[in-house]
Amino acid sequence: MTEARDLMKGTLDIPSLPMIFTRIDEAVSNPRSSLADIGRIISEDSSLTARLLKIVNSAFYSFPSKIETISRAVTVVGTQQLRDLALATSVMKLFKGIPHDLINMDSFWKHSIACGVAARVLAAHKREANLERFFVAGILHDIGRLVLCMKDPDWMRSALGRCHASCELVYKVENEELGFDHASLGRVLLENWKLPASLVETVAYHHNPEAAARFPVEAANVHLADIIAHAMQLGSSGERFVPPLSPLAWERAGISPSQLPGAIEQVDRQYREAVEWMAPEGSA
Amino acid sequence: MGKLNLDDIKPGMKLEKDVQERSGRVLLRAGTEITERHLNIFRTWGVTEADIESMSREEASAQAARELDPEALQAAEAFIDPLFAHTDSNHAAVREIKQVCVLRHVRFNREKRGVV
Repeated sequence: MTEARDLMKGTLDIPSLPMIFTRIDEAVSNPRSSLADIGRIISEDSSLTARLLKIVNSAFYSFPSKIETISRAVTVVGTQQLRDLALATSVMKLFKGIPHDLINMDSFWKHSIACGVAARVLAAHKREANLERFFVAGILHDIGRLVLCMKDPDWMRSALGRCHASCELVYKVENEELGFDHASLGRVLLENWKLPASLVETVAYHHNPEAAARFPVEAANVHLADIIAHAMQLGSSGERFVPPLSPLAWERAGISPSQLPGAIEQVDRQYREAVEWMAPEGSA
Repeated sequence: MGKLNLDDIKPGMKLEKDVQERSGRVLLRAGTEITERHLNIFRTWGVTEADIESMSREEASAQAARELDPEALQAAEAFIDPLFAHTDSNHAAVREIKQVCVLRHVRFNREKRGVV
């Protein structure tokens, strides 16, 4: 863990969250700010506004009538929920300059979106409240891999090469050679960004969800969602294999095997739509 | 004999246990022979599975697989199987995910070739 922190030192080249997100977050956490205040802050960013309106009018919500304005979205969807969606859609633009041969960013975010969509679908099957937090956790789960690619591209390239030749799991090789993996690096990044503990823990333990002490259900949910995203072969984070399922996490996730076929079908449908509205401008 | 996914339940099969909706209300009694209308009712009420007499989940998915072109099925299995090298395919959840992904892959390949 200390070594994961060491790698983050000299964080000059590690992106910080966009100012607009920080302002939305502050307003949402401030009991004295009104719904109108939050709507006004979001509206200042026209591309964020457009993306959020696309999301709230998608099959994610299937509201009976079209939501035309942010102020309406704030009322109908909720402020914390819009903040989580704003976070999910703004992180993708932050990581630039990672060599294409190392990781295909398009493919990386597709895997992240698939995991986010799967996490949300599974949570919906359990009738969880605030589905957006599952979605954003899924989007962020592998973000530590991007930090590794930025901080030590040569090491990452050789590790991916080793895994390709030996059919090992990338996170196990990370642990073996570095003493930590992309999940613990993701934790350090999200802590630096001062994101909520539930999100930090879910990302930190997505490969060993048994260790999640405070948010075991959330960690189990994203663990399972990651497995589904891999099995469906939607995008790629650099890992070829479906990660091993933790039987304890499966119990905690509280899903029955008979719900999986329907869930996977829903992921297919929502994923196609989500990829469209999540695409950073210019690449779609 | 076992719980089947709604998709694998066909008219003519017999219920082994009562089917209840989420709140516990019984929709259909054990022993009833299932009709297309019952299946619609299950969908409406969000029922995803039911216990069927003398048919296990494995038998039902095996039956679904038998209805597919064996070559297409083999090709899909050859693609999907190696992805699961690091996870326990004997676990009920993994088995289910794998099975669904194989069938999904057969469908994708068929669509790619323009056969519907």
